[in-house]
Amino acid sequence: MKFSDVHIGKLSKGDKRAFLLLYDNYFASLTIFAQNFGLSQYESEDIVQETFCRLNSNYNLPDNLSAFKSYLYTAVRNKSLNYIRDEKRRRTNDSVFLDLQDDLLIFDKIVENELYRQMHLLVNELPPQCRNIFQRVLKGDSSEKIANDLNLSVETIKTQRKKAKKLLREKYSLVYRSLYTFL
Amino acid sequence: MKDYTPFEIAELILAKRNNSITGGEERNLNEWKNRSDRNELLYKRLLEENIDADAVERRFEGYDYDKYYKDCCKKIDKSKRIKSIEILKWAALILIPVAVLSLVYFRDSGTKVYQAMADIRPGTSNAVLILSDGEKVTLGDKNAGDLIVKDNIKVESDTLKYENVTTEKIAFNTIIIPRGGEFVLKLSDGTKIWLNAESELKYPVSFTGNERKVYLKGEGFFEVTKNEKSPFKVVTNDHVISVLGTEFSIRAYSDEKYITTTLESGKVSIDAGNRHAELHPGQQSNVSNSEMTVKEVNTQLYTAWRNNKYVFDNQSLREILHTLSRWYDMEVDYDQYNLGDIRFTGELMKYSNITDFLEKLETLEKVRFDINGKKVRVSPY
Repeated sequence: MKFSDVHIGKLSKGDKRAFLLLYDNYFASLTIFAQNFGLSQYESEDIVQETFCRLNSNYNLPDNLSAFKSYLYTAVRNKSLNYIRDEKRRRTNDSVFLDLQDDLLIFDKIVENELYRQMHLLVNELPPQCRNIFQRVLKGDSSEKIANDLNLSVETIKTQRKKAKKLLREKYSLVYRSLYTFL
Repeated sequence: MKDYTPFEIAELILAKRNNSITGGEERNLNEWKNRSDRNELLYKRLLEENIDADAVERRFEGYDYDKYYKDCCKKIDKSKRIKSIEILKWAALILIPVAVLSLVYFRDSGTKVYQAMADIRPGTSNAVLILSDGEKVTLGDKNAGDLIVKDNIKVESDTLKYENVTTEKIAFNTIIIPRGGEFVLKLSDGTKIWLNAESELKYPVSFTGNERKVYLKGEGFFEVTKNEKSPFKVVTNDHVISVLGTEFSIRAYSDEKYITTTLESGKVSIDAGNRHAELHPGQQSNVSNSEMTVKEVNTQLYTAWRNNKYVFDNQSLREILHTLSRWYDMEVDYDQYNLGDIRFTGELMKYSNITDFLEKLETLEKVRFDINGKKVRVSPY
């Protein structure tokens, strides 16, 4: 399910369902975003975690999703900047990091990050069994192996693969172009 | 020219990839793309290069928010509990001043938010009075209104008063202030004494003869009515403080090394064993066994408790919590002994919740507190 405008206000009230959606929709993406500044995955996760936990009882959040996203990305960027400054640390990965002051570069990174995030959400919107099988297909498992692993019949796997193919073609069109080679 | 947010561009590119883009949207996207080489480069990279489902899955592999989500839920629960306590506190204690606290640690300060539950409450006005015949009377704000203890002995709000009392032979009363208590006493000569938590004062109901002598255990602030014919004496063990008329604070807890006298105004003389000293305003004496030292101090630090505050200046955590444990009636223990040696400076309104104070200390990221009932455990941050 997608985190939407209506969930923003619920964060302030400590609504756990709203938080679950927030984590589901944004945690990984923002963590990946923070790593652009040269932080490790672990450090980035801490920064995103701190940002998220502070949303509870924060009654000054923007009420539309676009402004809220902007708020999240800005908060993560600023916290990353502070972290690097305060720790006066060497970046974990010197070769890949953004100039924190370069707004254009950050614009590009956010576009890319958002695109991946939305595409990932689409996968997660597949019915659970469909998704599970789909992910295994992506790994290169054969229908026989998947059937064996999941304790299902080969027929069921084939049906699910057809269903996934149909769903993805109808709903997600070109996003999963390459998928058709698998299904 | 419209300024696009990165979110709008991402939506447009996604729609384009999905073949669900409308004519208008496509015109917008193309217009944006043609604005700069940079935009075009991004457009091509995200649209024309084949980002397949596999690439998406790989990007998100190894990210698991489960643990973080659960931690966050715990924090939410804690803050909800605190909020409900806050509401009760406000409802119940509407007249009690809002807690204000600021703490500065010398080196650095952090930002972590900490919240805790507590059974630990600030002290209240309460005491036990033992009359000369041994009868015990409980004094405290539970009595709400004024109370006449006996003849000319009465309680008005937080003050026990002796007025126009005359007795033929010396009769002593004793007032005992428990941990988490405080009380004010106005003696028959007009002398006013603020007694802090875990203290005891024995005094005559009326003063006769050529001296006014009282016996103190613990901590008290004295505002002595001037009477040159009859010096006022405070006795603690073998330590005698003689005054004519003055304001001073004495701290003489049996579990502390020093008997400390701090003079705000007037003049006092101190006799301890064979040592003798006279204090001038702003001076403090510290007596330990037969050693006595006198120094200049900021008297505020030692008398602020009378004015609803605790002030600490570069004091060890051990000293700070020891002092506060009397007022908040709490127990403190340390994971590591040396945690108690960390020094802090700051002040605390004495009617504020102890958790506010501990949270402020925690933000300095030196120590962490866990509260369990009336126990506070100190561990490394």
